[in-house]
Amino acid sequence: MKKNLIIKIILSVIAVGIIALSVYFLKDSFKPDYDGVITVEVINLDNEVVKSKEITFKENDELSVLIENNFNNVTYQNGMIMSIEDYNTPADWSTFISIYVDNKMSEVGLSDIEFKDGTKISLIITEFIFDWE
Amino acid sequence: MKFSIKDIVLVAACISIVFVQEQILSFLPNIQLTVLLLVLFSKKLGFVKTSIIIVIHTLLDCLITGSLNLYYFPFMVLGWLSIPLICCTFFKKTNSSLILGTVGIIGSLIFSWIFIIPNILVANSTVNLSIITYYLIADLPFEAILACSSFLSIIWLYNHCSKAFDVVLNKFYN
Repeated sequence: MKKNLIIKIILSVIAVGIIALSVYFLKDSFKPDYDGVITVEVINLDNEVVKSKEITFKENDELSVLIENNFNNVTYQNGMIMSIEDYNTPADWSTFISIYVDNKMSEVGLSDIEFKDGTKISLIITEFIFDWE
Repeated sequence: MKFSIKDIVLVAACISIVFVQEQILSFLPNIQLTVLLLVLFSKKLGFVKTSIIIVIHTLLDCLITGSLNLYYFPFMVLGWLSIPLICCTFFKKTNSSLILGTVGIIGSLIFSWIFIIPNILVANSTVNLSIITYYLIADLPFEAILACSSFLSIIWLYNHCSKAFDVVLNKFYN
C-alpha cells in the first residue's frame, strides 16, 4: 500500500514536470536576436489592402505585440488573432483571419513565426468554405 | 440491448457532467477530466452507454466550437471511442488506478493522433510525410499535457470517483 503510494507520488512529480515543460514550450514565442523592418498588411475579402505598415522591430520583440501596437482593434483568443481594424471574426467562423508569410500560408501561429528583416506578414480575411470533396 | 428510462436519464446526466467540466476547464490547454470520466463510465456503464455519451458529447462540443462538420466530428468521435474500446476489452478486469492511468495515457495519445488527421486535411491540399511529421512534432506539447493530466486525474481520483459512482448507481437503480 505504502509502496503503491510512493510510486504514485513519484509518477505524479514526473507528470507535473512534463506538464510544466510543455506549457513552457507552448508559451515560449519567437523573439529575434536582431533588429529589422517587417511589413504587415491587412487584406479584406475583396482582396483589397485595408492597411499596410512597415514596422521596425528590435531584439526580443514579439510579433503579436508589434501588430497590437501598430494596428487598431487587435484582439487575440487562445493565441489566435480574432480581430484587426474593422474586422471581427464572426461567432460562426464563416470568415477568419489567415496568416501568410512572404505570400505563403503560415503553418504556425503568429507567436511562432520566425520573422527577419524584410519579412512580409499578410493578414488575409478568408471565407470559410466547407468542401468535403 | 434495451434502455430503461433510468438508463437514459443516467446517460444524459453523464453527458452533462462531461460537457460542463470540459467547458469549465476550457481555459486550460488540454487539461480536462474527460479521459478520467470516460474511463470511469467505461468501467461502470459498459461500452454501449459510454459510446452514446461520447457521440452526444462530441456533437455538443463540435456545435459550440463551430467544428460540426465531416472533417472533425467523425475523427473526434473515433478518438474518444478508443478509451471505452481499450477499457472494455484489454483492461476489462483491471481496477488498478495505476494501470487505468496508463490506459488514460494511451487513450489520450490515440485521441491526439487521430485528431491530427482532420487538422492536416483542412490546412493542406497535399499530404506527405514531412507534413505529417511536422504536425506530430508541433502537437507533442499538447499531447504531453493531455496524457499527463489524464494520468494524474486517474491515479488520484479514479478510486474515489469509482466508490462514489457505485453509491450513486446503487441508489439510482434500487
